[in-house]
Amino acid sequence: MKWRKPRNLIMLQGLVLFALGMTMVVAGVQADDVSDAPQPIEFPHDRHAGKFKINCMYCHTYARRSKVAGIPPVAKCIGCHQHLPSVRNKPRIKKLFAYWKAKQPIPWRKVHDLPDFVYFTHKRHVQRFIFKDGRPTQQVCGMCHGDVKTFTVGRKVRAMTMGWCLSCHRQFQGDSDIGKPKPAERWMVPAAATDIPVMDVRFPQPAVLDPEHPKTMKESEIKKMSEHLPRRIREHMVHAPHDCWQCHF
Amino acid sequence: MALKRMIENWSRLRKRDYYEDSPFMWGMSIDLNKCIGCGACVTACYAENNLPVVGKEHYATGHAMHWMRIERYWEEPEGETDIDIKDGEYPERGAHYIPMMCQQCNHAPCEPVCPVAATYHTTDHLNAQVYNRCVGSRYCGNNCPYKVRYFNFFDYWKDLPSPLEMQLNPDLSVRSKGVMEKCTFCVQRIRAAKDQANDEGHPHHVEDGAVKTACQQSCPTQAIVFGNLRDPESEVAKQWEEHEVELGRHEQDKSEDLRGYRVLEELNVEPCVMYLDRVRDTEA
Repeated sequence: MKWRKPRNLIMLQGLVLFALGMTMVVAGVQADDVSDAPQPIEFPHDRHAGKFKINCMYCHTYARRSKVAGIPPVAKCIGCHQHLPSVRNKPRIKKLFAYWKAKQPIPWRKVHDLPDFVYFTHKRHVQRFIFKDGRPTQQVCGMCHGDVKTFTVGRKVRAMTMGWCLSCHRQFQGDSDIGKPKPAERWMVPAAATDIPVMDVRFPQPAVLDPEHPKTMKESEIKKMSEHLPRRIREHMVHAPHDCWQCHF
Repeated sequence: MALKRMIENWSRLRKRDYYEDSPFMWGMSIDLNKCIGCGACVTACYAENNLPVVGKEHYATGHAMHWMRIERYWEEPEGETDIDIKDGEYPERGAHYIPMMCQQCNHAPCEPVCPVAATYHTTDHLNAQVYNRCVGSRYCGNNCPYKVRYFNFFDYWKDLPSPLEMQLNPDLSVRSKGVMEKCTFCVQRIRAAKDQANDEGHPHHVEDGAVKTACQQSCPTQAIVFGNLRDPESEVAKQWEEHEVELGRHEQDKSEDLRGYRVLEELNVEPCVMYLDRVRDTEA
């Protein structure tokens, strides 16, 4: 019976290795800070958005009308900074003016890069939450981009996976659509069920839209919340979206 | 779960008017009288939808890739004519063209056979193809009566010489090896138009003409009309009505004065594309 021991050991080792590997894979997907993008200039978001409270959309100007939020041209930086002699001799600003003099765009690196097969539009989200619901800009942007006013260069703080998108899109949304299926909801349930009013003020509001908690809910929390729902609605809620073409084409 | 969804998909197939409440049903009408077979629509489709040009060799080995194709038919004159038909030569009458693309069937044969539900019907009555879900079984292509589904045998985009990748359309995916693809009725343009309609505050109404497919846009004779069949004011709905083509009809109307028909109507696949038959002078 001597041969048994090493085999068991190998199996155990294999199991441990496998578990380790799986943990790494899972951790890699769900890690909070998943990006590491060294930028040509260490842009201080904390000064612009935090200290001076410049609206996000002053620089990321396309967010309200386009799929992408956009990176400002160097001219926009210079537009302000030529009138700010107090910081003119800081190394970052010197670098900025070097790009300006060389007539070169700053080669920023993309931090939030969704896969090619994903259709995501900033416009709809910004239009809905900032302009229709009138929420503060930084809170709305923060839902996906984190508390940028404390960052220097942008970091990816949410996993931005499909499950993460759904963690919001499966929830109920603001009170402007009470009694009506949400635009998002409409695609999440089979079309036959779309006439069911899924919104009811009795149901708890998701934390993501709570100004005190600009954070995404966890899957378990959503599940817990949806347990209070009538069964016919709950059954439709747990479905994956029936219209993949909303985001993938 | 996946199985449950698949069975749902299957049982939905024969349920009529599942998406009855949807304000959109995108449809097309192609007037063959106007079609001159120039192929501008095909070229436009290549440019708009990031289609690879596979070349002769691939084509010969069955790797054809064109969401839209011009089918050419030579027509024999009916009865006796004055035209001399020499051996091995076609009559002077010329060819007859049919632009053929995905017919966006309402009872699509491709949908129930997909093992992973990568092709399904959207509420807009479009036959969707989800590339990132497709596993490349090619069942759908084999079950398609129109043979308008094309398979990516290679990563064709990798062959693009350096600056040419810049001409790819960023509004839709560049397909990679191992997925099926087909005409989408330029869904990216539909999305853009709906987005705009949403901005204007009428999300359930897209004005006629706001969406133009690439083929329609480039057709020099304006043979192609595209629009929302659910909107009675749209050009395409009017044409369908004028030629008495409607969903739920399974036989072609062969009467003289009506030109409208849908290809392979008798298969009961309910295509959303109507063709207007070409009228020819048999005497000439």
